[in-house]
Amino acid sequence: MTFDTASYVRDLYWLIPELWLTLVGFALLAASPYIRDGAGRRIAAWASAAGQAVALVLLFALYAGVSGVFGPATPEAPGAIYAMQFAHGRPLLLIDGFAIVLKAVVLVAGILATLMGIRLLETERIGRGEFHAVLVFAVVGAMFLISSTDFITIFVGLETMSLSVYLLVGWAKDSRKSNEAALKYFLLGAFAGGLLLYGMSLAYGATGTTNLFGLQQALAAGTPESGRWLLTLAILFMVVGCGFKIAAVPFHVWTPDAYEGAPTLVTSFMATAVKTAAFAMALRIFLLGFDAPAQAAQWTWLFGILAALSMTVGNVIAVLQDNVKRMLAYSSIAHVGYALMGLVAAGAALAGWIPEPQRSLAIELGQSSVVLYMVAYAFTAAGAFAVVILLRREGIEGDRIDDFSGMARRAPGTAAVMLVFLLSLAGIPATAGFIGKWWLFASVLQGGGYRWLAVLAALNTAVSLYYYLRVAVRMYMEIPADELPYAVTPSLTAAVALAAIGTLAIGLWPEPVLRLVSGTAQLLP
Amino acid sequence: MTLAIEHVLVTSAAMLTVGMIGLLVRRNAIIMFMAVELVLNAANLNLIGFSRFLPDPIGQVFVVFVIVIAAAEVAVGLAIVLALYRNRDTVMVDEASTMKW
Repeated sequence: MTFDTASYVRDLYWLIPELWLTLVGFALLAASPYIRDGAGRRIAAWASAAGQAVALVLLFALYAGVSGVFGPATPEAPGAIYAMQFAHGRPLLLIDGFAIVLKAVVLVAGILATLMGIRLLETERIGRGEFHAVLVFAVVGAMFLISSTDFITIFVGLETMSLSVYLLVGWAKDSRKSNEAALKYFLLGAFAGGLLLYGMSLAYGATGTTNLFGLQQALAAGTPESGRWLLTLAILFMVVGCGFKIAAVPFHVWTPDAYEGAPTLVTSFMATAVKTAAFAMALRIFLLGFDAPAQAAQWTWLFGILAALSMTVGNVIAVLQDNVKRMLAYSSIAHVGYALMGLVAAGAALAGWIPEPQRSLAIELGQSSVVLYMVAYAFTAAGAFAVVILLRREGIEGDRIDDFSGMARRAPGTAAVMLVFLLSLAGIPATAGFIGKWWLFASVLQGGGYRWLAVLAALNTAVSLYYYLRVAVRMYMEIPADELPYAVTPSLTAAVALAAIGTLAIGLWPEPVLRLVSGTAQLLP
Repeated sequence: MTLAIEHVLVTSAAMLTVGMIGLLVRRNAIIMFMAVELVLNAANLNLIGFSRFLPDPIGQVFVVFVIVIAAAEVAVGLAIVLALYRNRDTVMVDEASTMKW
């Protein structure tokens, strides 16, 4: 094995967005000791947002310029644009439609979180310059994870993202809530990483490869009897590990505390970017690595149970919440349940429970509906958290549902936009949430014995309307709770507007996004 | 008696069990943190064992990555525990329960 400079440079070419962001992160880190006043911190925040926006442009520039630049990436992944390989000749990182769309989601989520938090960081007095560097590193980790197709790269990407987010959750050093949130998130997150790794080690033992494509080939060739129980255990550990990372019930206990205790912009980042990257990891591992019928039959019903539990428990407990961040945390758990329907539908098709010709459609629809839901949810959730930040003022925590009282009278525009986000979360037509749910329902209704999940999801949507509309009732039918002006800043307004435009655009004119997302169903060669 | 893959698997399963039990029953954040490290090292032992018996070098490469990440995790974890200790003068997690439900 000789070192091939040309292929090394070519690999770096496809990592330009990540490399650029790493540079931005180090520049912010290097500049942070010299930033002492509020103005400097605002400039650092805007620089971070601009750096992420440039990465977004680079990402789409790569995408636009791809056709026929390097030819088919590898015989193993014909649908991919480019595949980075290693000594064993199998892709470690894959640049495909799936990766590019989800990386764009993560970048948008990062930009929105950065913009919405500029004033909040000042109010909470936690705006030290390194904050933005760590946030950018979390984005880099998430982007790396989304491209990963090998257990080694998956683990490195996952931990790069997670370690940065543990720090961000605990960033308010003097706040007891933030300390506690960080500790709970860290202990359970690291434990989940350990379980995932244990599952990876067992899969490696059973098949002799850490690569998802290698795993796929080994499973297609059939495993010896002795390796079968190792694989079953590996799947079990990985489902639990992924369950923790995407916050599915019963592995959700850390979620409400971490979401409530973290500074709200970090909560927004966790609900959008981190969740998207974790879902990308789960899709890659299970739809690519464990796609053999025997294995798919094992993980599909496990995820089916997680989906049913997540949507039911999430929605029911969300009804009981008085704290809006906690309510949105439980709502995000419920949304994980909905999104898992797509994975279950694809799994049922892979397991052979759906006959042709619906089978291939169900696989494609299952995958792309999860991607679509991540796109839709990212805009909606980021917007809702941005409006919550608006209520945080000097001396007022602003995270209770009561704090929304009378918003329609005081700020009619903001209240209307918040109503759009709430309706989108509930999945009402003309919003992004509806389009996302529609595809998920369609995928699970293809058959395969999981139609009951769609029924359960419909019932749960009715429950969720209650607590989403409770916030709307506060906004429109009650008198203002206080007289202190809302924390309106240009950056926060920009974040809310961007999120609202995204939510409404996907809802009213879904065609471009649907076309983009259906191009991502090339995960399975 | 020669070392067989079963010995490695049993040892790592024992380490995993101790780690899981430690995380569930202990209430000291540092001890819980050590339990998490034990889970990571159980996986490392598996990887090394399989790498030796398959034989295949990739497992050892993986372990090097995991060790580096575990070291970074220690730094982050201790920083979080230290921040908690400064505010509460305790590292017991059951006293850190401002938020429930």
